[in-house]
Amino acid sequence: MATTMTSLPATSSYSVGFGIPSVITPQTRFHRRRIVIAKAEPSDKSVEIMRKFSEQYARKSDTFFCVDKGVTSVVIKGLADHRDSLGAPLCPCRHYDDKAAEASQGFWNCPCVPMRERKECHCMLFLTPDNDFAGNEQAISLEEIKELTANM
Amino acid sequence: MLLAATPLSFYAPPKPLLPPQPSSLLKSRDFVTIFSTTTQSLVSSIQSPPTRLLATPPTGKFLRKDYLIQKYSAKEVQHLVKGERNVPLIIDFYATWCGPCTLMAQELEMIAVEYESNAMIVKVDTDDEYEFARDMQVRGLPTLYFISPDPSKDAIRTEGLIPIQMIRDILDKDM
Repeated sequence: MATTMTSLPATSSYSVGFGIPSVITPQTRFHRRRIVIAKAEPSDKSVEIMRKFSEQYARKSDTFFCVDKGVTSVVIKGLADHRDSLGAPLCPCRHYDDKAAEASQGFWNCPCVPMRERKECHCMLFLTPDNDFAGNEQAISLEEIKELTANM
Repeated sequence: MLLAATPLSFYAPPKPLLPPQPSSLLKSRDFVTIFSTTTQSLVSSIQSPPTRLLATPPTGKFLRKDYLIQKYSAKEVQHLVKGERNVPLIIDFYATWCGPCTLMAQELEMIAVEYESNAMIVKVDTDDEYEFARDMQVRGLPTLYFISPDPSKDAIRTEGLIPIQMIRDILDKDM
């Protein structure tokens, strides 16, 4: 029986801990296929919040963004997307058995424990100066993020 | 048994399955058969009408698709793994909003161009194929699985972004 999730915002496309597949409105009465929307965009507000957080945390931790700002943009959008759907910016570069449980537990909420303790960011968002991929910038604009993630 | 691929086919009873019925009962039985996933008529009646080609698509082998590496579902990957192969298989587990996965995808596209038909590379979206990723114990992204065509060899698994030369080394030496 198809069900629609009404409790989560429209940007969510995960069946987070409920065991119910997320279904968008079926096309007609006769088509009973499950349709999963392909990764709706995170809200502008969340992207802006995570952008500001990233800039501020990079300054605070003396780390730099990647030379390829596309990577930075994608990760910031991933954090924003998780913030929208889970309420917390869960690391987008991991696979979780239960995203909601991980978000409330907090280990992988950005900045994650490995980053806070050892400055290890496998998302390549915050890079120490000795990293081959580290650029020399600690700022990124919203326009850059939008431009670099335009075709996703 | 073939049904015409038009909307009216939904109201046509599948002859081998239903005995002759009065028309009012027919419609309610039809809904039952349509919503049942076991009848063959359901599959054939959902086919879209045949499309007409306006022009032949280009035949250049790298022009047909946007990317060489295609996204596969869990079932398709399982078929690939179980089936006969004589080339190594690389499975790239990724997520849409994972930054290093985009760099890995670029590297794998280059590998696909270099190796052409000497390696098979597929990608799996871990947000779509939750259970498959969990069964394969995927944690960090991107995760690559290198599966040799030789069933006696172990699969190799790497986590995180790896240099392209390492991918070449694994393909050349360990597969």
